Amino acid sequence: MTHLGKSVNDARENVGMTLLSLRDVDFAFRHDGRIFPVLRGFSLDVREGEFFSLIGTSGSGKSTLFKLITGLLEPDGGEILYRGEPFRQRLGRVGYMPQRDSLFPWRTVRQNAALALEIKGWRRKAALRRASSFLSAFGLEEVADHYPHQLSGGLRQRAAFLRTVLGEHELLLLDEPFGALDALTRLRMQEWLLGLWQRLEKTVLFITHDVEEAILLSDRVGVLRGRPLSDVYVVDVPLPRPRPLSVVTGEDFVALKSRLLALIGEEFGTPVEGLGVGREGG
Amino acid sequence: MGERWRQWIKTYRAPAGFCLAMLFLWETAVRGLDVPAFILPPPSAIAVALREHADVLWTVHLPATLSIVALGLLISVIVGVAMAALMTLFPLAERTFYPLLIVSQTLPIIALAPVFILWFGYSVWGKVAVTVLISFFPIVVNTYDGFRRADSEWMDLLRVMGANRWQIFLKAQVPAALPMFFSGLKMAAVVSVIGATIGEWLGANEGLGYFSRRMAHSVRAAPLFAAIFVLSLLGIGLFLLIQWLERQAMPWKRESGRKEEAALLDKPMGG
Repeated sequence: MTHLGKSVNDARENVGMTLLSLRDVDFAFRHDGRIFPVLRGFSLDVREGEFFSLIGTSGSGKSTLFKLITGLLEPDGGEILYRGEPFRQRLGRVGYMPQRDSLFPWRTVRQNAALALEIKGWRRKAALRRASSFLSAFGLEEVADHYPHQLSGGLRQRAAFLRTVLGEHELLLLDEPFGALDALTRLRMQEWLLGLWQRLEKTVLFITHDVEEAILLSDRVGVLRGRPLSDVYVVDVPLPRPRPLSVVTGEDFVALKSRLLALIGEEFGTPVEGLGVGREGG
Repeated sequence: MGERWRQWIKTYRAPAGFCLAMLFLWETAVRGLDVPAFILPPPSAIAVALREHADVLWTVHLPATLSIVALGLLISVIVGVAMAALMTLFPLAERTFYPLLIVSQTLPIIALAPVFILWFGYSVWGKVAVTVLISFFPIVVNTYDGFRRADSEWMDLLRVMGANRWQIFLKAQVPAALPMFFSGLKMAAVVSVIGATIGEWLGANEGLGYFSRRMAHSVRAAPLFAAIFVLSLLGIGLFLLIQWLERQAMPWKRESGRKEEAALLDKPMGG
């Protein structure tokens, strides 16, 4: 349980060094002899130990970006660096939590959680024991031997997150993990993740549609810009941690939110009216 | 009486009642219309024949046919699953075998049966070969389809975890294929009884197919129907056995309807 034992301050001290860099990355899909550029000269730095959220609409190239970082896709141009070194052979080296939980229906929560360890070559029993030791921290003890279809959306996401964490990678990519949840469950999950992440000592790159969610959880928020994706506008979130949910009504929070919404509105060439309404879909 | 039994009775009451009604109608019609017994014997005569021949039917002919069916199915499963796996793992194998498999189904398989009898004689293998020939196809095609049912998101996730091709096959494609494999196996079990019977018609000195053909030759309809009855039981028995195996192999399919209970467990956890 060493990973869960560190205090908040210890985790903070690590922030600073650049963990992951994308330098001038180009990528295009080819289909029927036509070329669809998705990324053009895109650069991004993620610092060690930080929680970095990317905001972008559907079709902004977020998922492609994640596939490039995980190694499912290779860039056409530019570089991906890890601690300053070229990051080749990326498959198996970053944790990835897909948008849909993608839990295996034939595995119980415990067995799903142990999957990454099994792939790493752990023996099944040892992997299950290791997974079991994390269940209570993730609030999954009571459903450890349930199958995914027996669980609610929130519990499924927790199980998927545990599976991601147990891969034991420094960098975790979370692709809109709460996108499919109802508003209340989502709020509860944000609170849960906020509390849990501070004990995990992980660097998180988080994709979301939701500006409030991004501010609440992150150290920095990046707004993805351009089609093809070419730029990210990064805003620091100077709110202290631990952050209670009530932080969302604070002055600083609201100011940050309107600034980000304005940036998003700029991106679409239309001013965003009011504060509660971000542009989704598109 | 348990809830399960009540449910069971409720499910099977209607079809069982219908069968009883049909048997009754059959009996009265055959007697009333004076249908000759060598054309259509009444159910009561079949029951009598079943008792009369009980000894040979259950202890000689059923075991003979059953062993052909079991051997044939076993070989079909081994070869069929291996072939489906090969086609899944190696594109070249897919390109080579898949079209041939489909074309093979246009062959009049039954017409090939005498060839096997020619090759293997009256030994059990001629009949096993006929059985394999017709039960192999549903297994290979269904299993292969099943392997391809694995969600690409699962496979991507495994790749991101660093899984190799073999791990992806074992962890995602094999479990994903189980439902399709079992439906193929059920189809195969049903047709394997047909295969064994045909094999026995053509060349055998025991087995239910052999028995029924002998009875037909001597125009003894009641024992013929008795043999058909035992063959039907064999088919039903195999089907139920596979259904049971299916449930054992896929425990996650059994436990449904507990969503509400699980949802109750989704209470807030302190952050």
